[in-house]
Amino acid sequence: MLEPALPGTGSHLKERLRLAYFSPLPPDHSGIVDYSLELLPELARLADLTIFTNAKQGVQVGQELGVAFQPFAEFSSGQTDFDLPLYHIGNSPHHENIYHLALRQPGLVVLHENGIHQFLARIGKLDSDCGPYVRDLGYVLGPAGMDLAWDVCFGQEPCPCFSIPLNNRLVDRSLGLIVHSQSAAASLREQRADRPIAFVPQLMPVRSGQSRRSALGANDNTIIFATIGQIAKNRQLNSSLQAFATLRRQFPDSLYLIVGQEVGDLDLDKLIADLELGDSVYRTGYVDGLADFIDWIATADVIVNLRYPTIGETSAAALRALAASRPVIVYDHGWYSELPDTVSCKVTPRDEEQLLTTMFALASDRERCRSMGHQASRFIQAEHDPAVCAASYITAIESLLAEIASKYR
Amino acid sequence: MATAVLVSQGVRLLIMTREESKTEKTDKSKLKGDVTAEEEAIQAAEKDAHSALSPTMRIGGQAFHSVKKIYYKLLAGRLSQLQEQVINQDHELSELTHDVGQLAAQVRQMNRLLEGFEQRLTRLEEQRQNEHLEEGPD
Repeated sequence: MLEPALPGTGSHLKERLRLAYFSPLPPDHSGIVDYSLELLPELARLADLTIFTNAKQGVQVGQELGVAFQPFAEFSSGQTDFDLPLYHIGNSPHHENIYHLALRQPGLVVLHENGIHQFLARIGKLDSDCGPYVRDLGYVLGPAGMDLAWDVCFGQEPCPCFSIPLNNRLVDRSLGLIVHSQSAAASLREQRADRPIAFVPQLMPVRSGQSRRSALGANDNTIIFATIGQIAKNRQLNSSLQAFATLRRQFPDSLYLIVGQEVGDLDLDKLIADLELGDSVYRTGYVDGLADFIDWIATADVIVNLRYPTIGETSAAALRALAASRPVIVYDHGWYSELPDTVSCKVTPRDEEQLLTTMFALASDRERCRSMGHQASRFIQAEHDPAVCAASYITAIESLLAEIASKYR
Repeated sequence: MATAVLVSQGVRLLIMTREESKTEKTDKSKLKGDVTAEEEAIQAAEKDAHSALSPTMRIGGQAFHSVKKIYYKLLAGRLSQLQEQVINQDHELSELTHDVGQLAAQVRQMNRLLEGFEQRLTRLEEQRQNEHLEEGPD
């Protein structure tokens, strides 16, 4: 008779893992919501999942996928039913309850962005209660951090959101971490060498869309650049639109698409007016629905995906562009540096001249754009296939459990 | 504590000097029978008493200011000690929570192992019963 076996023991009779799954789900909107919707069906094939959510639509999602669900508060009393809780953490405020639970009942944390300072500053409600934020900065920097936090709360200093990741408490408490980039993994290993850290590529299914070129009155020869995703100040539209304005002198019928919700104190109207680009920039605003979003990606020839500074994120927007067979222009830092040169053009961060040269080179060589696009979708298929990524999750979880088991034997 | 003692001693000295000078003033005015002379005497006595004080205590405001400075310095020192303690405790708490999390994961694995053993035991018992039935009664 076969011996009973634990997940992760490497036995010939492996039991399916029982995982408690924590992530924002619809009706919330975020990149991680979309990510979970794509990961869940794949992961459910390999493990017994229970989604913990209070959202009615989340429950519906669970039912559609055939995955069990329970109210969020039930986990504490029923946690012995699971091998491990899996917490997804990002910078949107929808992660607040998940973050607090991950601190109280440690598990495996999927850290979608290495830095969570923005998230903690948001949920900290600095205008009314500085306490938790002061404690968090003190945790990382000592008493000097507490002083800095008070200065930030009283508006004496800007929030150091990009220079201090503020993930230390979460990393210290977690049983293990999963990240989506080698650079994030390396930085976490440097921070806390004794915590198990696994690299699992961010999953991205290959999807092609229908170009909406004709709706814009553009023909096949028109070169179209686009910036996609949530449009915030760190997307460096100042730089890319300035470069585009210069490029337009050579390519007068070229277009620039801005696809996605505009957030923060971004005065695009003024920028576009100042650069006299009113007739060549098209803004879609928030695009409701993935199919429409991908159609807009397919409309462009090149996706300009500049982010500065980086907080150790893996850009879903860049991956979606590659999955839709479009080359990307990125800054050469963080995860972006890990993209192969065959599918992306890398520019030194904030080097406007190099950006212009790169945009010009791609606009002048459409065949190169097409070739990079083909290679892009092949790269996504090979490296970011959802089934392969879900299998990597299981491997990471099993190896973590094996490590824990070995510690107490 | 030392500061408070210093202050109270200074105040006491000032009061005693004033009392002495008042007594002296009364004697003088009695002798002279002159109010102006008496006032002058008071002023002179107060001046003497004043110069007899230590430089820190000479002016009340100055003394208070320096005491306040010392007090704030002590308070800041104590607060920073407490801050460091709180931060260290915060780190210890994180490590302990992590360890408890690991133990909980280990317990969950042990539970699964036990479940497996129970199932195996049940199957063995069933098998034995079946074998016993097949063999028939003795």
